[in-house]
Amino acid sequence: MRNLIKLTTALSASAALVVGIFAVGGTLAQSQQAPQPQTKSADQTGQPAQTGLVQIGEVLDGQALFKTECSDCHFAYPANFLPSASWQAILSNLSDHFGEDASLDPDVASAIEGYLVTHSSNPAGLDVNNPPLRITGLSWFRRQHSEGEVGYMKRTRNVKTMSDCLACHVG
Amino acid sequence: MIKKALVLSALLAFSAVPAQADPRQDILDQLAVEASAADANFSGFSAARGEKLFRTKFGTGKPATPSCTSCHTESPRNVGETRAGKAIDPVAVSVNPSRFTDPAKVAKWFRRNCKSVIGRECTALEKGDYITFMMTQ
Ligand code: HEC
Ligand code: HEC
Ligand code: HEC
Repeated sequence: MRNLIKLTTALSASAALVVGIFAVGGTLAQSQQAPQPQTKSADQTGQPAQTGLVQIGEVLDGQALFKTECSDCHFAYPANFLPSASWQAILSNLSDHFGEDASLDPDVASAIEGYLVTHSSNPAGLDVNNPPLRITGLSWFRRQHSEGEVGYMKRTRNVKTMSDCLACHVG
Repeated sequence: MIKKALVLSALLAFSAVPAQADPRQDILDQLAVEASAADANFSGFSAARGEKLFRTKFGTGKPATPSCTSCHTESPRNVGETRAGKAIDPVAVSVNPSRFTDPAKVAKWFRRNCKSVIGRECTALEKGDYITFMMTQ
């Protein structure tokens, strides 16, 4: 069995891989080294801190929330696997999420959306009114996962769905 | 300020220990308050009703999730599985003592899963029954 790529490090470390993913779509609109969302301390804004939620100062920490809230049912898919319009569409309809209710507190959902949008990859020529909702539906994904080895792994590892990245990859 | 904080923590150390020691019971107590507010004849939670809720194939929610057992399996002591293939720790309290101890987590998943399975939120009675059933498992 070949050693499969480690999804998160491979993607954050390698812009080339991401360019490859969107080769059909053209150039990347956003840099992969997008800066972390700016956070302010409570002193700077004077606003009261919220309690009971993952936060930096009074600003909800979208990255930390993404990692905890988006990993209960599946792998927390890396942000740069989808364009920002896709993340916006997904985060605005969590109560009907691929046939399930995945609803979140609105403040939490918008903090997560902020993180995902900042770290998304936006190919030129994307139809922002009709963004893809699935990584597994993107053409690079289907190309990469059409070979015999994928089918073999699906059978031998009893993989239910291609959305279960960690059945075959290391997170 | 510092003095106040010290006094407060001293108070907490004494008065709140019994309550904090059993967060699951706190959640049940809160649900019992809500259940009696909704029904004056409320006379306690029932593991048998909770088991029925757990096993019923509702068919009134989302098509892929007719029942709690769709993901939590027929036995609460088993490891379950999400529709995307991720393992779910057992929900029986005997196997997993940390179950139903975080109020925010409990509220979030009852909201989601009752809507997915039944098509509406669960009542306080249903939630209390469900937790009571899981405590016998
Ligand atoms: C309650 C369970 C649940 C939670 C919580 C959840 N999801 Fe999902 N998600 C699903 C299911 C089920 C699917 C469909 C899986 C399948 O088709 O095999 C899915 C699919 C997806 C997909 C498409 C995967 C593909 O096939 O390419 C994305 C993207 C996604 N979720 C993002 C998110 C984000 C972002 C969050 C956090 C805000 C989140 N999910 C939280 C259940 C959940
Ligand atoms: C059934 C097993 C299986 C599943 C499930 C699966 N993959 Fe793959 N994936 C593979 C195989 C096999 C390859 C080809 C690996 C290679 O060439 O080294 C591959 C290749 C890739 C590549 C290209 C790697 C490269 O080096 O060019 C990426 C990116 C990728 N997968 C991401 C994903 C993501 C994201 C998911 C979940 C949404 C996923 N995969 C689900 C088996 C799987
Ligand atoms: C689509 C899959 C799925 C279905 C169907 C489902 N659950 Fe869950 N449930 C989960 C997941 C995933 C979690 C969160 C992961 C965990 O707690 O291990 C969870 C957690 C919970 C929790 C939180 C437990 C705790 O320790 O705080 C409760 C309560 C719960 N479910 C109740 C129900 C009830 C009641 C039903 C049926 C009406 C149901 N679930 C049906 C997937 C499901």
